[in-house]
Amino acid sequence: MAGAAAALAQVPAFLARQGWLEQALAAESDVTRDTMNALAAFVVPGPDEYSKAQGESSKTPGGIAARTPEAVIELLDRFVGTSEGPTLPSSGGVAALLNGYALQVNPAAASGAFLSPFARLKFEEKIEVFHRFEADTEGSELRFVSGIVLGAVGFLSHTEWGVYDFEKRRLTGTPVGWKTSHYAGIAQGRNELKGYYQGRRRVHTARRYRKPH
Amino acid sequence: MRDVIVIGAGGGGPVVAKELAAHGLDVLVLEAGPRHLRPEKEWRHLENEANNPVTGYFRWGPADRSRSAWLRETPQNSFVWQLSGVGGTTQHYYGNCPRAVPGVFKGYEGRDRNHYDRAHEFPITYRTLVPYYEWVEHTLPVQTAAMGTKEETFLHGASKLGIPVQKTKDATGAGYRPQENAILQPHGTAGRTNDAKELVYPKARGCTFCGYCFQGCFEPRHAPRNLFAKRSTDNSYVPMALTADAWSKGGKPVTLITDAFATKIGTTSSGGGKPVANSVTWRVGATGESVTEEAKVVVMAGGTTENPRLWLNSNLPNPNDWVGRGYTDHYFDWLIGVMPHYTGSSKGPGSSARVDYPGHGGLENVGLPPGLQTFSATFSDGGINDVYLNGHPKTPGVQGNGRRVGNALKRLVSDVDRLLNVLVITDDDVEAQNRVTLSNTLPPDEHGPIPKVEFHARNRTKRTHQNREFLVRKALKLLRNAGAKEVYRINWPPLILHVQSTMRMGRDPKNSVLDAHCETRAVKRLFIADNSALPNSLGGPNPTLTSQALATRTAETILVRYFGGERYVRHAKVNPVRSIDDRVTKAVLERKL
Repeated sequence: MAGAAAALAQVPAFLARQGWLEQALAAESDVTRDTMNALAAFVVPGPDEYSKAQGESSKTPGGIAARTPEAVIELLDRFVGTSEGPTLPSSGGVAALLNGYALQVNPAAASGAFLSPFARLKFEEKIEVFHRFEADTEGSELRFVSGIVLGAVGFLSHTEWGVYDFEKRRLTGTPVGWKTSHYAGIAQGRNELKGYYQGRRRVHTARRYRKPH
Repeated sequence: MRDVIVIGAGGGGPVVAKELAAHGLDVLVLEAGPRHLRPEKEWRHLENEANNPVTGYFRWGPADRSRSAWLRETPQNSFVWQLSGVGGTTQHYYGNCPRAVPGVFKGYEGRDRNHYDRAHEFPITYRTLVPYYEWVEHTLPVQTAAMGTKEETFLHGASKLGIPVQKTKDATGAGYRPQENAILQPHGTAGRTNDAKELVYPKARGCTFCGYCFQGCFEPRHAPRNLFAKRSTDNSYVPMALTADAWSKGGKPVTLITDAFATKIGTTSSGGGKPVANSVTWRVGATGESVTEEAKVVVMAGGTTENPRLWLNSNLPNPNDWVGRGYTDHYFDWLIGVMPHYTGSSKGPGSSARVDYPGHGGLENVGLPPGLQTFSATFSDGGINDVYLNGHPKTPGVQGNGRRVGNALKRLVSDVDRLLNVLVITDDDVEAQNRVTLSNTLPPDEHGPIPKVEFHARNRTKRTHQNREFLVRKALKLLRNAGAKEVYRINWPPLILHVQSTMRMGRDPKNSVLDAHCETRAVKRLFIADNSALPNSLGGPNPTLTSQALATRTAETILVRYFGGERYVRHAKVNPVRSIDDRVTKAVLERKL
């Protein structure tokens, strides 16, 4: 993500080249949050309205229940600022990119339910957003962002972030991702030792490489 | 004036420091990040807390986690997984300690000699390095890994590949085996209970199979620091370096300064035409103060990305333009098998089994907790859910190519303990185009111009691509042999985690930075002692052990060339003192280290 900081510094210029910068600067933080909700539902769907609207939902809780949108916004904004150019939070920059591509993929997403065009897309259309985002940024600094953002959402949605008391440094509940992945939870050790392969507990340097005596 | 200043307390620097401290030299070790002196209080078995690359305690950034991480420019789909702090990346490594394959060394005459990157071979023979391997293996110590269910499953699949079990330390041919790991074998209750009350030192000794190598090892609880199971240098070489007087006659403990980011290597011009290293300047993170100390010898061990940066920021000579070039990363790939039965993938050491295909690379099993498991399935250069593949061809025989997203992802990670991951570790070629330079698009930080890490994954050599595809086919076969119902090839972009060869030693002065003893060709009294000194990617094996063996040899060279000492490893009549020796333990406890 230190690399993301460097890449995100290029976002305003990229938005300007695409003609999306003015709209990005005018956007409210609610639009950013809405876009991140739709992104979390895209990667890890649940029974929430964003997942249902994209046509890919799940009975078990997903990224939104895991509070992944907040985690992603914090990851992008708390430590990653844009260094030059117009003032635009990094999360707002990424949201503007996704919404710009959303309107390319489906111009009808300009209006409708939700605050952001990206949230109005179907699941397959969201895939197409990333297809274009990855292709357009190939060979540029922003290729880092188009490559890593889904991995960041995947990681955060399955960690303890959503149920962690950062001041007391302890869990306040069971993380959503632990439940859905049937993770046993943390432990100091496990009853998992099965012994040594073929009973062999040590090996040595091969005869041909041993020093002569 | 110090005898030696070592820059960086990661995988390699503490090895040089410990060896020279044992011989009574005055050694100063500088570390840019923190020292986690009380890991039982400071660390958690929690993935975001540990591994969040911006805010986690394992990040590339200053000790104060409220401050920003340090920047680098990575103008491609990739991720540089770098850590600051005493122990460096060994804090999160899996302790895997395979030796390099003999085919990548000078003088190799095997029938497969042309299967390797001959243009960038080691400038020494394999036989030359073996005594140094044995020295490090005894010191850490390195031991044959115990198995959990995931290793039993992996080795069962490997046993049907038509290759033999490898029963020596050396990869003499294609074979499969348990890892040789720098992890203490389990004793007492370790690995035999889930009961926290029973998993306390000394009832439990060695690896407890907790499953958190990547979050830092502080098990078994209440063990002295040098007896935590994983032999990251913060648990092994650093305690030895800090207590050298206690276990070595005439030894002198090193001075360790943390929060000290080296910004310049100073030189004089009295080296027969070549500059001579004679000082190091560092920035104190807490105060911003700049400090300079002089030394007779300087050792760079700040890492494969930071060493070229420091060299260039110090305006040291770069006559052949190879500083920073030749970055190798094993061009990883990742396959996930969905098994019909329990594998315990989230439990036990990160990896305890491997397959070697000398001339191509290797495979190893990897177990992960859910956050990193999900990251591993969503970090890709191969598109999403097979809808698009970013130009990559489909891999025959797998259920999916590229990232999994949506319900496809949820299904895949719906039971982490029924998965079997295989990491593809490619024997990749040294290429000048993959490199570290200084960023010219982003502003300098408080330590000077920042590094730019460039990888051209899709434009790598034909041999590198062929090796990767060969290994993917073998991984798929292994997983099917093991009983996988479904297999997914994620097609990772560069995950720059095994990092090598940006300040490479070499036979040819035209394409190397170091001589055959790891002293820089352009600056006298300046040595390099970490993965960046490696001449190539070792043929695929994980690099830490080889860097440590080479660093041991480098310490000997420093002693011989500049302090009137003699070589001691090859002719040693007794084994070296182990990092778990009672004398080390006693001093660690007495000095509250």
